[in-house]
Amino acid sequence: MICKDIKNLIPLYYYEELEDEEFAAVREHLASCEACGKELESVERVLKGVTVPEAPDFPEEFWSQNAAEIMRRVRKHPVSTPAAGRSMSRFAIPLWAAAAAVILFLFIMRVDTEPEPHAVSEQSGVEMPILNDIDLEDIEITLGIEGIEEKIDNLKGSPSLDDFDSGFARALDTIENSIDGFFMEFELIDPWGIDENGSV
Amino acid sequence: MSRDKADAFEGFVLDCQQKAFSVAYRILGNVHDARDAVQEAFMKAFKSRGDFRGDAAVTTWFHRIVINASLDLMRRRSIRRTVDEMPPDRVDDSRPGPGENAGISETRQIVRSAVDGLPERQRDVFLLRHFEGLSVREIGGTLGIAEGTVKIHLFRAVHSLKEDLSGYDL
Repeated sequence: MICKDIKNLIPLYYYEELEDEEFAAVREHLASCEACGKELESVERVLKGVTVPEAPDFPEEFWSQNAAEIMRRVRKHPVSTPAAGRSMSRFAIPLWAAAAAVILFLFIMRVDTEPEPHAVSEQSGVEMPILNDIDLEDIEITLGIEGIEEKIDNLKGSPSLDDFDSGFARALDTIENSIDGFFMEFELIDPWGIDENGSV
Repeated sequence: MSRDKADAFEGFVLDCQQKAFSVAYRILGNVHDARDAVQEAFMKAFKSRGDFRGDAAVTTWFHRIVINASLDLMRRRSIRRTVDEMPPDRVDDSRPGPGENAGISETRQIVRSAVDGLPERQRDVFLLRHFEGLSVREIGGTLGIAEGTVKIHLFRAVHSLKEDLSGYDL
């Protein structure tokens, strides 16, 4: 292996992420090459200086409050289907009747119950359109990336710009990673690109 | 929600919250964001508990949820910093939170800034390898990218950090 290749592999060598043969080849080269040895030393110095942060020690009260806050949110989650055999609440009959009355009223009044086409973003407070239609061709997907359609489908009807941003950003990440991965595979084979004969 | 379901999940929260917080803290670097990420992770775990296939330990499954919640929060935090200034009532992330050592060295802050300043994917890969100790294969599985891509991101991240931090006495 030449120095150019070794230097590319030094981070993986440091993290012991090389296959056995590659690891041995790099170690053998480092034993005899001063320049690459110094490169390893500089990488080691920097990475050992990146200390892993340890969470502070908190008193029991902190954890009690933390758990209570989590459970407060969990208990607000929509109630699942009641277990079979439970008797109806004494309030259930009036509520059922009220629900039926509302439905009847809406039917009579022909109220448009289609969801509002806009929603207020929790993040910016700005009214934003709900995405109900995304044309994949607009995104110009040319690599036939699997899963992107499903990811975008999951965005449809999302009422929150946060959801859109997060989900769409993840979708674009997928595209970018696939594109990067496509070209990066070539880089791994030849860090300087395709050779003069056009071969990899 | 039925009392039984809530009680059972509360037990899970009490058992796992400290470890979850440690993971989130390593990735995010501050108490405020770590707490937010952990809360988000538990909510996601609760909502998707029916999707758990049992093909891995619960702790492994939840560990991945915590990692992704932390990376998502870091991503949103980066977008917010780029597009919008932090809301005035939000505590500056770089300041120590409750229980944190107010004497965090300037060098550590410089190092953390260098890591946080990496391009998003390089940062994610580096955090998961260096701080969480995940293998290249595990990182690929967590982030949904090929192992070769993970290696490239890791190489570039280390190269960038070396360039940025070589002048400091670490």
